[in-house]
This record gives sequence, structure tokens and C-alpha cells, in this order.
Amino acid sequence: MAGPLIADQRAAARGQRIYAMLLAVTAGVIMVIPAFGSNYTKTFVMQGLMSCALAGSWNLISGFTGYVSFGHAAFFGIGSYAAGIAIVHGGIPAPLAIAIAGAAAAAVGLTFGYPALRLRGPYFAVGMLGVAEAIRVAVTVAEPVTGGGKGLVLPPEDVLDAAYYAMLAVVTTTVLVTYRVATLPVGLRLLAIREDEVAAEMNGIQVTRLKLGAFAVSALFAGLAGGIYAWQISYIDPGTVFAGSLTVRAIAMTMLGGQGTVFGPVVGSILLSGISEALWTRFPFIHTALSGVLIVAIVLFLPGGITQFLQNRGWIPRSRRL
Amino acid sequence: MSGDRPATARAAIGSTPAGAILEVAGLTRRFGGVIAVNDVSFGIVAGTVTGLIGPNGSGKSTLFRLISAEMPAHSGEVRLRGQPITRRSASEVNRLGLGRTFQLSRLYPAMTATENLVAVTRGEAKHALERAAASLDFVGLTAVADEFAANLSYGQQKLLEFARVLVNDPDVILLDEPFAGVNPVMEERMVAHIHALRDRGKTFLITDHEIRLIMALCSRLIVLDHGELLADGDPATVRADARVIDAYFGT
Repeated sequence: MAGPLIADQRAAARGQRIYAMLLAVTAGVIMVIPAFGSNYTKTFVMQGLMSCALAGSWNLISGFTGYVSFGHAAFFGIGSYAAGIAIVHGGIPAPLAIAIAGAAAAAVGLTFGYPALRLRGPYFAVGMLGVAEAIRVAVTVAEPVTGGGKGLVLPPEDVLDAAYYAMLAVVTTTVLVTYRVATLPVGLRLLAIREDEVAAEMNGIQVTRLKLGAFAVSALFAGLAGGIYAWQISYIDPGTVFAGSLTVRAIAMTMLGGQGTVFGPVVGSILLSGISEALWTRFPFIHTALSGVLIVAIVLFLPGGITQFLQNRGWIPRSRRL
Repeated sequence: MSGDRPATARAAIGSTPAGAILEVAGLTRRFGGVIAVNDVSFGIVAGTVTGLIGPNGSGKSTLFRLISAEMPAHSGEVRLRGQPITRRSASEVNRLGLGRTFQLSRLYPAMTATENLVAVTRGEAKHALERAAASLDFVGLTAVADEFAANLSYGQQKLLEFARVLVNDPDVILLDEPFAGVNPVMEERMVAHIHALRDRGKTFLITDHEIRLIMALCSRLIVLDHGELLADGDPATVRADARVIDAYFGT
């Protein structure tokens, strides 16, 4: 498979402009929706943004370093509860509570990441699943603080617009950070860990430090998203914020768009949010099954995601900036 | 430690010249009941090319892994410029100036040749591209700089791995079977590169089964058999050693 020819490069540059324009238009539409959209539209897009934040967050650790985490919802859940508890028990204003949510998730990420990132491949994936489950159970048991299985009720406020923009800010920051990482040697070092960790270590890459750093930043963004979610929805319970389906969606979206790419999680979450909404409204009883079929199809036919598909066709350049 | 050979025989081989840049002292590693490397000691001088030969399973690759800190030794010590490196991580050992390649190339397949180098290049990020380009140019891979490593030929992959080691300018370079499966043209290139680098003061420790090349390339040969040092000396002497002929060269 040779690199793109000169003629292909011109086509690829045009493709990149179209690609960038589509993303810019989407971003523009998302920006103005709170001003014009119905509550249904706002809630739907807000959901999409939340998924996108989670996908982007998952991509930072799993997409780049190849440490596939099946327990990423843990950080979303920790963020939700940290913000919820800060607001309910501490009377802390929401913006600060959300910052606490991010910090708490990052701290837990560092704590569990240190031992967990010594595991590789399926052992890490399942290990993280165990971590998420353990945290969910701990939150359920700690009833005096967390409200246990009955959940935690936050003071209800109509903050949909504010939460919407806050979530958009988290998504934007995640993309910017990923872009920065991907365009510096550190991005290649993370990818080198995915490609061959031993060869990365043997060539002087500080593997442990990098993995842990990526994991903490990833957890931070998931925690922020969780905090914003709790603030907006004003009721959280362990079953919802630690749901495995949150992780599965983040994985599916990232894989559809392209793992270890900058815009892959964004493209994947736009498409998958749209598709699952369409399926849900048309086939209310089997939409989850159809989503499952879709994920299987992605793995089988688009293993590198849409980004790689377009690159292989020469429609967009082979650039780490995309 | 090995005990079954008289100490006098050991003193004759595995000499550590004064001022050796890389020293191995009493290095031992077991795998279950098998002693893969048994009390091996030697030292090599800066600016030389030393060959490490021996039959399959004699412990060459394990010795490489111990020296480069890919795996810990059960006893003994490795010193780089007199500084013990045995307890350090592989990443630290590389940063101290010891680079290595692998018997089967271990590249980052979904990354381009240039990216393979930039990923490991230390120092300021803005110079990483230039240094990667210079290293690729040195091994003659400029034409495939933007090709994915997975798409390169076997020989090109070997050269790319060599370029990746060189990009951080290590003082000591361990090459694990650099000639295995490489065509004659590539072989010649590799030999020329090694000589050019040796003349610039780089130190090489090379294992390979291409005895013709090893004899021509190295000023000293160290022979391993069953994890123990069997012989050590200049190529002609080692070639004539009855024990080496018996264990490795055959008749």
C-alpha cells in the first residue's frame, strides 16, 4: 500500500476541507441550538455531547495507548457523585462542584491506574470492569453520604442551557487537548505504547509515566462530564451513572470514528447518536439490538474507523491532525 | 557460582580490559530449572565491535535482555561507564546511552518510518523531525520516510530499527541478529554503517549466525555455550579453538 500520489494529495486536501467544513457547521449548529431549539432537541444534543465527552475521554487512554478500558463509566460515576455530594452536603456552588468532580475522578484514576496499568490487554480491560463495579457497590453501600441505591436528589434547577454549554466546553477542551497531544511527539509516544510497549520502553519512552498521565487526564474529562450531568439532571443513582452501557457507547463511538485520532470520537458520536435516536424512535423495542448489530458491523468492516477508511481511499490526508 | 569448571579456566576468558565502557560481572539468569546465563563476565572497550556467538539456545538473547534491562538478572551486575545499571528500568538504561535492536524487528507497524523515529527522539520537539530525517538518511531509507513500517520489506525494517536506535545517539549499541534474513546488498550497507559508527567512537556488541560477516566485522569474539563463556579472543584464535569448533562451528 503506497502513500498517496500527487493527484491523490490534491483530492485529499479537498476532502480535508470538506471534512473540516462539516465539523465546523455541526459545531455552529450545536452552538446556536439553545437559542432556537426545543427542549427535546436540547436534551438530545446534550446527550450527544455527553457521549462525545466520554468517547473523547476514553480515546485519550484507550485509543492512543491501546489500554482498552471496559470500566470507563467509573470516572463518569465518580464525577457525578462528587459533584452531587458537594452540592447536596457541602452547599458548594455548581461550577466549583463540577471542578471537584473532575479532580476526584482524576485522583481515583491515578490511584487505580497505578496498579491497573501494569496489566495488559484483556487483563486490563477486565480489571477496569472490576474497578468500576467495585466503586459502584461502594457508592451503593455508603448510603448516609450517597443516598445508596435510592439515589441522590440534588436541588432541582432549570440549568439546561448552562449545562449544555458547560458540556460543550468539556467536549471542546477534550478535542483541543487531543489535538495538541496528537501533533506533538508525546502523541506518537502514546501510540508507540499501543504498537509495541516493550519496544517503546527499550527505546527510552517513559511508558509508566505516560500511561498514568493519559489515564488521569482521561478520567478528568469523564469526571467533568459526570459532574455536569448530575447538576443538570438533579437526580443520580448508581445504576445510571455507573452503567456499563455508558462505556460501551463511548467505545463504539470512538471505534466508529477512529481510535487514536483527534476527531474520530466526535465523528463517531455524531453518527451514532443520530443513528440510535432514529432507531429508538422508529423501533422502540429492538433499537438496542440494532445498535449491537451496528457495532459488530463496524468491527468487521471498518476496524480502523471512518477516519482510516477515508484515508485509505485517499479522500482525506494521512495526517495525525485528523 | 557455576562451580563445575576450574577457576583458572575462567580467568583466561571473559577478561575485562581497563576502562571498559560496558562491563558484565557474574551475570546469571535462570528460567525454572534451566540456567540460561551462568556467571558470565566480560568487558568491552569503547570504539570496538565485539561479536557474541554461540549455538541456538546458548543464552545470547537472554544476555542481551539482561544487559538492556528488559528482564532482571538473578545475580551479577552490568555497568555502563562504570555505573551500575542492573537495577534500572529499560527506559532509563536506554536514556543512559545503551540502545538495542531485536532479533525480530519490533517496530511500531501502524506508524510511518519517520514517526517510528520521532516517537523515541529525546530533546526538543522542534528538532525531532530533523534528527529523524538525518537518521533515516544515514541508513538510506529517506525514500520510504512516509511509508508505514508495516509496509516495509524485511530488510528495510531491520534498517529502520537500526535508525531508531541511532536517533538518540547511544554510545553502546547491541544488535541482535542484524543480518538474519537480510539480502547481500543490505548486508553490505549494514556492515558499512557499523564501521562508520565504530570509527566515530561507538561501541557494538553483535550476535549473529552469519559467521563470515561476524569474523570480518568484529575485532573480538565472545562465545557462549549452555549459558557459559566458552571462549573469548580475536576472531582467528577463537576460530581455531577446539572447544568452539566442537560446540559451534562443527567440522
